[in-house]
Amino acid sequence: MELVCPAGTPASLRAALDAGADVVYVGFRDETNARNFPGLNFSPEELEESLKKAHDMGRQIYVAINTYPQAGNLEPWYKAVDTAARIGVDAVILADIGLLNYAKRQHPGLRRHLSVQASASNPEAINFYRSAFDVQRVVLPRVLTVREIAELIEEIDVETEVFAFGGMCVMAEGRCSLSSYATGKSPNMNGVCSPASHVEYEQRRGKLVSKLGEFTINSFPNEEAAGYPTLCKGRFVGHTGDPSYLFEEPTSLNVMMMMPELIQAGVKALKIEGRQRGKAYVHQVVSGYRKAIDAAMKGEPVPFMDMGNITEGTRSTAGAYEKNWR
Amino acid sequence: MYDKNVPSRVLPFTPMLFAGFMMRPVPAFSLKPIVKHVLTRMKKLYPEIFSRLAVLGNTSFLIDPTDLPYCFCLSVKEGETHIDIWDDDSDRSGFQAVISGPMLDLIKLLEGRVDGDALFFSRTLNVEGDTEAVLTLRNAVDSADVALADVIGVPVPFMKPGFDKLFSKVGSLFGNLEKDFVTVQRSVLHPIARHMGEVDKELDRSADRMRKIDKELVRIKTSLKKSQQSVERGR
Ligand code: SF4
Repeated sequence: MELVCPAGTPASLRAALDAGADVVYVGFRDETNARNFPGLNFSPEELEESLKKAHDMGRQIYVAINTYPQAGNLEPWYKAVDTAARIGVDAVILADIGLLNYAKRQHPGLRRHLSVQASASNPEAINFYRSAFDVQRVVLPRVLTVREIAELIEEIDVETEVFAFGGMCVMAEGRCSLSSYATGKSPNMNGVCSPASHVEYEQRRGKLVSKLGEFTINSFPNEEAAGYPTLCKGRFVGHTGDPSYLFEEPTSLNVMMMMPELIQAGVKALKIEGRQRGKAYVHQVVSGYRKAIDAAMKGEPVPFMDMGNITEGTRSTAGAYEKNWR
Repeated sequence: MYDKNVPSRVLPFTPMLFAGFMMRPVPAFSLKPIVKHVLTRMKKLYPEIFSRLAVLGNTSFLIDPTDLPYCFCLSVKEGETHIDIWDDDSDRSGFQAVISGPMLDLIKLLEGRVDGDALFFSRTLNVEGDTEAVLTLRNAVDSADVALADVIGVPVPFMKPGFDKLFSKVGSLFGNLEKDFVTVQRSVLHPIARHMGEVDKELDRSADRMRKIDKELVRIKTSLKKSQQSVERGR
């Protein structure tokens, strides 16, 4: 089982490697990746240096180029693929079929993974990506149960990577319009859900009020743990008149205790979300998951590790993996 | 944007709060050289932070350690970063962003020992104003492996091992003190918190009762309306 960990800066990358990541995934400092946040991500030079360090340690680096190129402005995406290939990264993570085609044509030797942004969750879709673009791995959307994942693996000829820890994106991945609706910018096109430029926090009579564009999306009384300012985790006023969570509460995914089942299902890699998080987060989660994977691979019980201090809303869930609402 | 008359946070009960009381007679201007020295050293040791900050153009942050009687003004002007220290009651207008929280947590954040989002989720850190600028600052600081002991530096190089030892001793002393303070705070606040919990529960029960009464009222009104309509139709 491969442990695939996030890094938004070279320092986070070092933290991930030191904590035992098999692979670190990163993005370039532009809109070609789904974590296009200010001050984050890698320049080609930083990537080159980091790759050398990772390879010296026998580890790998994947580059996410997983937003959808804009019509009439394909250049940045082509350039990102070319740069990743030139530097010699171990794989690129792509979502757009045009870009997958470009990468296959121009750099046939460059390993291609299908991003979660492509939202491929059934055998037909995955087998199509395999036959058309020769993808070697698919990152599965966070909407399947462990049983569904096991059944899917039986029907495909591609490695699978699943999310194990981090922020929850509750929509059919890559197809959410909530952020575009409120701000004109989306994770799929601009690499940002709820861009910081449109987020505002205010203290109002002891409450923390978060706003996205024109919309007040949440209000946290003092002492209540806060969450990300995304619309899917906003509190809405329904018929009862009480603001409550409609789509999802502020919480993080954590499937550490389900590790043995995921291994048995035939999953090839576990992914930690959070390129936007600090190196302290990276170090804590990666160390925890390293221990958990090592224990599970030896058939030992997975030790309980409290991650409450770094989770969104200081809570966690196993999400759809143990779906009990249908 | 930042109104100092609005209490945006409760004062944290920390060792720094007491250190702050003792430092109150020391005016901010006498600390300016130290603060400027720290910035100069940081620029030298961690240039990557400042290259990531340069994109901000002209932005000024008010960094407010809530348990100290001072605040810091960090500004980026035409790509150059500057710092100043002010007394807590100075004029705070004109900042694009305000970051406030206990001093020890701000130091841990600077050294990358805690995750900024985690501090924010737990409400330890408070952020107001230009969120994009705050995120840029956070990401820039996190891009380097800052060690405060290296930043402060030693007067003579051969003293470095001793200095590092002393620095880590002071650090762990403060860490332990912080834990003790939390314990004291919990034990003092526990009876009050329990009482407040009971009051909250009672309020919730009252709110539930009110909701039921509301629903009942709506139901009575609708059935009244219906019977009125049937009476009218019968006429
Ligand atoms: S709004 Fe929520 S569901 Fe939509 S992209 Fe953002 S995080 Fe995902």
